[in-house]
Amino acid sequence: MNVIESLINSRDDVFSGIVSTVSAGFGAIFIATIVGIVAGMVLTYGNALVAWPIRAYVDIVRGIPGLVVIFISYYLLGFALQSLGITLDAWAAGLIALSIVGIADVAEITRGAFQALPRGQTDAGKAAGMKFPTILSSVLLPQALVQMIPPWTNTATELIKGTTLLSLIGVTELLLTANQLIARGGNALYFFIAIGLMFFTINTLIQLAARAAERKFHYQIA
Amino acid sequence: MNYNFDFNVILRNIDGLLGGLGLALLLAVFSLSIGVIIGLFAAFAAISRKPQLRALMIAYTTVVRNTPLLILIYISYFGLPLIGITFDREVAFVITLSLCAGAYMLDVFRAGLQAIPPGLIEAGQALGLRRSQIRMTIQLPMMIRNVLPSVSNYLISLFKDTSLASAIAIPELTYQANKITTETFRVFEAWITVGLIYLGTCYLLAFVLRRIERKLAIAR
Repeated sequence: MNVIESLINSRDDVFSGIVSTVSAGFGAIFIATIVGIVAGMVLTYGNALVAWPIRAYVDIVRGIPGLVVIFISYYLLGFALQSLGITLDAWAAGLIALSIVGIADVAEITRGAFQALPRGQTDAGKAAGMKFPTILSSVLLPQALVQMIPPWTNTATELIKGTTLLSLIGVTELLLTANQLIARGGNALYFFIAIGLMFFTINTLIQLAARAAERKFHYQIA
Repeated sequence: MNYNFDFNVILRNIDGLLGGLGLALLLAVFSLSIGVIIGLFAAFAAISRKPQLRALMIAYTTVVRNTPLLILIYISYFGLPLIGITFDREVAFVITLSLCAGAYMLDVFRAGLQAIPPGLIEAGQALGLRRSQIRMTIQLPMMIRNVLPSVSNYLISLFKDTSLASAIAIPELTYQANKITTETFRVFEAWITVGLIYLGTCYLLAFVLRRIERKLAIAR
């Protein structure tokens, strides 16, 4: 198979493509998860003054295609930072854009999970003499996190897939690497299928891990 | 930061932008329509008694869900011509997006079918209806009403996905923004305008679709 040969021959390029894809993808998943959960908790329980800007942020981001967010981050943020003397490289612009999209998704997922918890959970915490921060961190959050696993997996998969869009602003991740190998005479069909399989593998691994976590932490809310 | 905004560049390109919006909507509607048809057949296949058929449908959704859309677009536009299958860019794009929509619709429709109380199907059998009659007169109409909100939400998501058509030079909205960017370097005006057009269209679509849903909802 000439694809495998050619992937091995240009293993340095392929390897740096994988590094670029994986770092942008998992970096965005990490940022989106941490910031998104906090944002979602503020959306659910925060005071209106703080919750309102987050609501606006989530609603705006979810109404714009991810690719457009990437271009906005690359051109607009890049331009704005340049006038401050900071150069934003394409990979960083892409990571920021993917995180912006991911945060909005995770915030909505978090809000949904908290709102789905029965009210009795909060009441029981109060009856046991807990203050709200304690109820939030040791009663509500652990239950909400378990409920969030399946939709969170979707967001994680979307972010990993979204890294391919970074090729359009010139990040040499896996897809752009494949494009370059094709330009040097590689078979487009085989290369794209090979790269597609790599993404399929990464996403399948994420889903298997999430399913294992779900089984481990799943408990019945009576 | 000193940047002089000049929104005249938008006015000069307004035809292209509106044409791009129209094309994006058209691509989304075509893909959804074909996707719904694929999804209908696929959903009945996914709940059929034949295990091979069910496995095939699981493979279909798994592959589509876990592979980036852009790679699927490149496969159909750049890859398939190498084995003698050539499409126009618009056709290649709509085929790809329809297959994605079909996979999504398959899951939505299957859930909609499984939400129908089994008693209704048994009632049909008790009346002596054939399987095809049960399918057409009980399962299909009930399922359609179950899934309407998911289908209309998905149209909005497909509309956003049409931005990827710019990657194979289909002159939709994102392509127009890129064109203004490279021709005039008016990056702020171009991307702010296009961002707002997407945002406004998404909310307008949501508003219209909610009204249609309310009209079609079953009075209980």
